Amino acid sequence: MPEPTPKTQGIGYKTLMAWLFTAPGLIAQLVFGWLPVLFSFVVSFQKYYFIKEPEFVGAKNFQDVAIDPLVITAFKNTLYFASLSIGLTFLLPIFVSILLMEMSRRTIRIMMILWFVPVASTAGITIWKYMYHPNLGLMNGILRGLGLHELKWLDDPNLAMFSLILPGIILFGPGLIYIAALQNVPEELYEAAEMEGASMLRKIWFITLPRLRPIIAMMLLFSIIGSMQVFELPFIMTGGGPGYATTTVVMYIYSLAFGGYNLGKATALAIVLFGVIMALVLIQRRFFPENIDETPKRA
Amino acid sequence: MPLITQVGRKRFKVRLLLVAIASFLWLGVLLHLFPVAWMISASMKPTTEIFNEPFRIMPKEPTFSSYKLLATTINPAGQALNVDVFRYPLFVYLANSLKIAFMTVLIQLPITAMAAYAVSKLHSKRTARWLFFFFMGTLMIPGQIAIVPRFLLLSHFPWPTRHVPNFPFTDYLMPSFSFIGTYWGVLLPAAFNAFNFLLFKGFFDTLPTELIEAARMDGASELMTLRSIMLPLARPVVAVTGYFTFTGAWNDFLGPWIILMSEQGKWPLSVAMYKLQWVLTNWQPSQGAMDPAVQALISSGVGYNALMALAVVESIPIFIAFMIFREQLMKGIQIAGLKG
Repeated sequence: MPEPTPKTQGIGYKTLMAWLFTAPGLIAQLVFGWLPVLFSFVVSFQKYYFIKEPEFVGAKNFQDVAIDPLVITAFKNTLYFASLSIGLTFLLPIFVSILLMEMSRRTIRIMMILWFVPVASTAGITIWKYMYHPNLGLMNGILRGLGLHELKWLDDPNLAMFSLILPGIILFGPGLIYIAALQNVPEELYEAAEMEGASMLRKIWFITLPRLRPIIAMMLLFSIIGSMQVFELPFIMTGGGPGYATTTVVMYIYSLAFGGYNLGKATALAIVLFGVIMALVLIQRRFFPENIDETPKRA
Repeated sequence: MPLITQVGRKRFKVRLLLVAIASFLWLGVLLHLFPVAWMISASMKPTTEIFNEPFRIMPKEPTFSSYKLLATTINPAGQALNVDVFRYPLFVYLANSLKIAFMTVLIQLPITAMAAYAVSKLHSKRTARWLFFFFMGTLMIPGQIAIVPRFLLLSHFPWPTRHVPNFPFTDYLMPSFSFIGTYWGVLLPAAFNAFNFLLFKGFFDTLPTELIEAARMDGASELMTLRSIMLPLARPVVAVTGYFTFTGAWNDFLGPWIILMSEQGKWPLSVAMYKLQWVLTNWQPSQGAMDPAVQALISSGVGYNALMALAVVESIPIFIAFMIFREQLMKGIQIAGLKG
């Protein structure tokens, strides 16, 4: 490697320091980042219970996963949650952030501070569980006050999943990352469009959104990965019920491993989930690439 | 102000549009603050009010009795509250949460920042590229996939296998530790964070190399360069990553839940919260007979008011963290925006 040698110290010293700085992170990432992922492939091919000797069983666990009707239910629920969640709440922060930029600097500041007042996450989920309480909850209180008929929210198998998403719609707000990106769009572009007599919607469509595109693509990716792995929200809100109406794949993995102690099957299911998420990510990248110029060419 | 130019802002139609946008945004702010206000108000209601007048906005007779109940392990009649959350007073859970959150920041930020600095400024281009993939690769792999192997790894660290290997040709087992039921089981997996690595590296990349060269010329060691030149410059990034790491560790539920499940004295607030709401909400009037323990709890004054009091206590520390880092956070956003 033709490296420019530092003036005062030898190249050996610099390399040594570089590796010393890297070492703790390297070890942590190797042991807790990569090792469990690699080891999950080993576990998935074993009959593995906490108490018994693990033994190699080939693809048995994957067969178990394939014929388990609850796996199908869990995947259906998870895909339903992911599409509801992305369909109903993904665009909101983009839209709100764009509108927020129209306010004066001072208003933006005040609104942002109020908007990002934090509530601890399990606390937030519990607040909503209280809101949804059939008799004591505010949601039914409001419906009653309006003279509408009350709903059973989390206890209604058809409404439970939507009830998990609803807080995300009611608590609409801007996204930090979109605001950061919007501050970057050169103002001259809008001025130029103004000269041409472009309407507000056209400006959003032809200037703002294309500029945000890489970030939207990235956030969409994270939303897919995140919502396919949803655990805490249904685990605390509904415990997977009523029946299995809100049991997600990760919840089922959790209950297979720590409720049924079937570690091999749990891990096999985790790998199947990984495969499904990767497939979705590939589809997303094919149809929504970060760079416009890379839009799939038609043959 | 990019969509509506300054010039046109006096026209009636444009003004109307601006007012509409502003009201929409303020509505969002209010809707966001309302559950917080509702949580505080409910936490100060006496139990009878929770049941008899559930929809009063302001408590009729505000009381701190729910907070007092959480701070003890006995009910007003002097009997032990017979539900596991009340085996320890609130301070224990609060202290545990603080321990976990602060330790995570203290362990994770230096390790991550040092690795990011080395990859950005010290390694050769080729090594840096490999290390970058090594560090970032797990970000693409869904984290929940490895719950089971991570648990196994932590239960006989550093061996992920069920059996700890022997020293070759002997009967002696190699050393192993169980981190289940210890704080290390929660802290160690968080020692490195790929997302913070990305933020730090992105920032170090924008700093000119001449800065380090100059420090080296003056005889500064690499550690001194990082500590006294790079980190002070990176203050907004440290603030943003520090805040998000703190709140992330504070909010983490699944990790402490799996690792510390059997060690109640080490539970953080997030786990205590889950347990209390589970006890209270798994019974519903429609289900008929109430669990006697729950019955006793409710007659001791533990209801949704106590649950909301716990939620308030769980939220206060991260609210304080938010107020402390507020300015830095807003600045951090602008910096993130600048480098785009």
